[in-house]
Amino acid sequence: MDPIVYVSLGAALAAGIAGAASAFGVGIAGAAAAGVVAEDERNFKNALILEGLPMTQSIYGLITLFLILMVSGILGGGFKFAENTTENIIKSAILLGAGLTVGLTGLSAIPQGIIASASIGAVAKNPKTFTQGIIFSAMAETMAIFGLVGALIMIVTGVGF
Amino acid sequence: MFKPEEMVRVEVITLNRYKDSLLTYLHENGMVEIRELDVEIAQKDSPNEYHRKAASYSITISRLVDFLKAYRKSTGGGIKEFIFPKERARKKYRYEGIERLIKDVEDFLSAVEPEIKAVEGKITATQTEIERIKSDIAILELLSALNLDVSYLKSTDMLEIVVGTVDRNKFKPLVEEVTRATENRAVIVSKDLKDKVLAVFVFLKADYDRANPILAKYSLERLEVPEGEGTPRELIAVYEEKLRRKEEELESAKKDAEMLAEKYYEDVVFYQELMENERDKSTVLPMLARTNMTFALTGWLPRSDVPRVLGAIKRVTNGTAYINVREPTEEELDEIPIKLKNPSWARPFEMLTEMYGVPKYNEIDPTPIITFTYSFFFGFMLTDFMYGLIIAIIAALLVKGHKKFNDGTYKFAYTLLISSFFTMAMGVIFGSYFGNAFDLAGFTVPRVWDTFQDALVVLQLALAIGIAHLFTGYTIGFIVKLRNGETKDAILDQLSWMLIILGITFLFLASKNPSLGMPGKALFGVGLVLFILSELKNGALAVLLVISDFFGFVGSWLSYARLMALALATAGIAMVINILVQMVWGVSIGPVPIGILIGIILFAGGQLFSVAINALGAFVHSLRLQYVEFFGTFYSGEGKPFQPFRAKREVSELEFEA
Repeated sequence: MDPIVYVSLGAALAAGIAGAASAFGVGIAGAAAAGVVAEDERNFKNALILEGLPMTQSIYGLITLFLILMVSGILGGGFKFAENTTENIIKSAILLGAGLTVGLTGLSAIPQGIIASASIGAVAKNPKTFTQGIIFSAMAETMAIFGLVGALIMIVTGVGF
Repeated sequence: MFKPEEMVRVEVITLNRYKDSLLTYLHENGMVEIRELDVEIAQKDSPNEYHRKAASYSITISRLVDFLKAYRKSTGGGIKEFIFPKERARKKYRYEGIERLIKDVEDFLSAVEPEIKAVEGKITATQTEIERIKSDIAILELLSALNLDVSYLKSTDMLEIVVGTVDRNKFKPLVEEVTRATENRAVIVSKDLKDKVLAVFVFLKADYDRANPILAKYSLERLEVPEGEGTPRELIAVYEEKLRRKEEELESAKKDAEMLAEKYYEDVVFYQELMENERDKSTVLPMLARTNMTFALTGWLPRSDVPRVLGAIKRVTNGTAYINVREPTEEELDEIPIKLKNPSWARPFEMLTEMYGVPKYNEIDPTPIITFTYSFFFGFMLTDFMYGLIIAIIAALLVKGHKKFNDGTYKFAYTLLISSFFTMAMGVIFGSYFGNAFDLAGFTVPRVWDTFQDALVVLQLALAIGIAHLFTGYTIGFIVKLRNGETKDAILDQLSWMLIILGITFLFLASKNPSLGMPGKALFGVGLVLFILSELKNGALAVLLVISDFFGFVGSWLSYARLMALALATAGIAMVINILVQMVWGVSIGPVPIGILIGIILFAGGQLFSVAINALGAFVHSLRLQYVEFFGTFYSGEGKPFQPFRAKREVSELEFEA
């Protein structure tokens, strides 16, 4: 395959999978949020913050997309790996790997949405559980963070700026 | 600092006639946590008639409050009110015993309650009537399809007339069955509506009993024909006039309610608070022991409050009291309530400790440490001077506005303010001002490291900070356990990890200075042996636990990599926004540089979004590193928080002899 295929696949999968997973996560939490707001409108602020938590994975995906576009030169200048040399293929394949890591770990947005949705229900019953709910939801994000760390290491050491 | 407030146990026996004033004193000053007293020969005290009245009036009054609140003119609101809330005025009440207070409340209620109830009743009645007229109008709208005089649809002495709607597909069989049952003595007038049929059935009185079950069987929805004469159209006009008059009445009743709210709301809330506090005060009575003449109470209080409390008890009881203040015994260790004690700079951070759970009495209070580490981690994850500045400004305003309340908002804003200083400092080190906005604008920004170019340095930094944090935790745990005489646990559970961490550090440094290699291996080895020994108590599971706990430790350590990831995420989002702004900046339609306008809006909105989402992330993950990774090394958080017997006063203040 040409290097451009690897690079664009990497960028697309990072932002795409993570973004789709975030959408699912926010969707699950949003359904619960709508329910508790119907019960009492004062739940809105807390529910909104909890609903927003599964969104971070899509941000990680977006950052990875931009980093991949930057280091490969698509953004700002010309595509650096246009020639089909072994080195270029290795570098662009690493970028694909980095993108895929962030995309797949971004799937953690779905369980995070489930936790957030349960936390929204808990907050409606007892507002004091708000911070605890946030912490529980943040647990699921750990995997996405590890994915981002891994991807950053791959990009920085494997390709470099 | 580091240790919770020292607590002592107080025991008081005095005469029953001082009970009300003593409890009132303790309740208003909130210094003692009263505990249940079990004395075999004495019986438990219980609330008397006045306390029960207080409970019942607090419910009555809270109903009045709910009603008046709905008709209160809303005052203020908005951002200014949120940042600088006004202090509520406190009205004084001269307290001369609960009997007198109940009497005052009864006087107040007998003057005010009928007035409020009358208006409330008027509003409810009018609303019901409006509902009824509206449903009548709706029925008339339906009947207008028939264009019959409405008075014809009323049953007479001879005839039973039923008006109703039925599903279209059920209508035909219904007609057939009714005609058969009444042997053709039924007149049926019908009109098609959308998916229903509007039908009028006229039976002889004698046939009604036979027809009725059939109507029910086909689920005919009966319509209650409104009173009046004339065609439905004519009647609707009459009813609408009626409706208008009732609505006017409702408006005027609501005006009355608003006036009442203006006149009485403050008073009603004032008496509500008095009654609720009286009710709460009586909840401790079952914890006291009593005889015919005396009563006894026991509880915990901070040592520093002892002179004040003793003086007050003597004053209130004219010196006729037995008072015993003693140190807690070894057995009571788990019972002692915990009141955190920290210097004022760390006090707001107690909120974070309390959220997890307060320490046991013989444990260390980690608040001063997490004051530093939480704020530092927050700053590390946000790492932007401008973001820090924005947060600092908002937090400083909130701190200023809420300081006098010492509420949750104040504490949280204070933690944010401290954290924002670290954020600004880290922002300067990494040369990050709205991300790389200045670099893109063509300025040279001084920086020690660049977040992206030196990403690996940031990662190493994060892991070094992480292992130092864990080492601190294990060291604290080690010291606490040694002090509490749990030497074996201290060595096996904590020292083992301290040695392993030291070993890892030496081995890492050995890459620069090879002479550290041997000591590093030795420390790591000893630590590992101690760690394996500590797992042996689990018997057959030991092997599995050694593996899982060791990787648990590695996981905890690597978890600090999030410091780097979130720092880069902030820089990344800011960079994305900056690049987008740069793209649109040059766009212009003809001579109009529309791109600059869009760019400014995009920049402001995007960066504000970025501050919000990244600050949320920094808060959550910084707190998580404290709770999960750091507290996991030494902290139980299983203490019972100090809950003094204390009145809640917002709009009232008691004056009394003491």
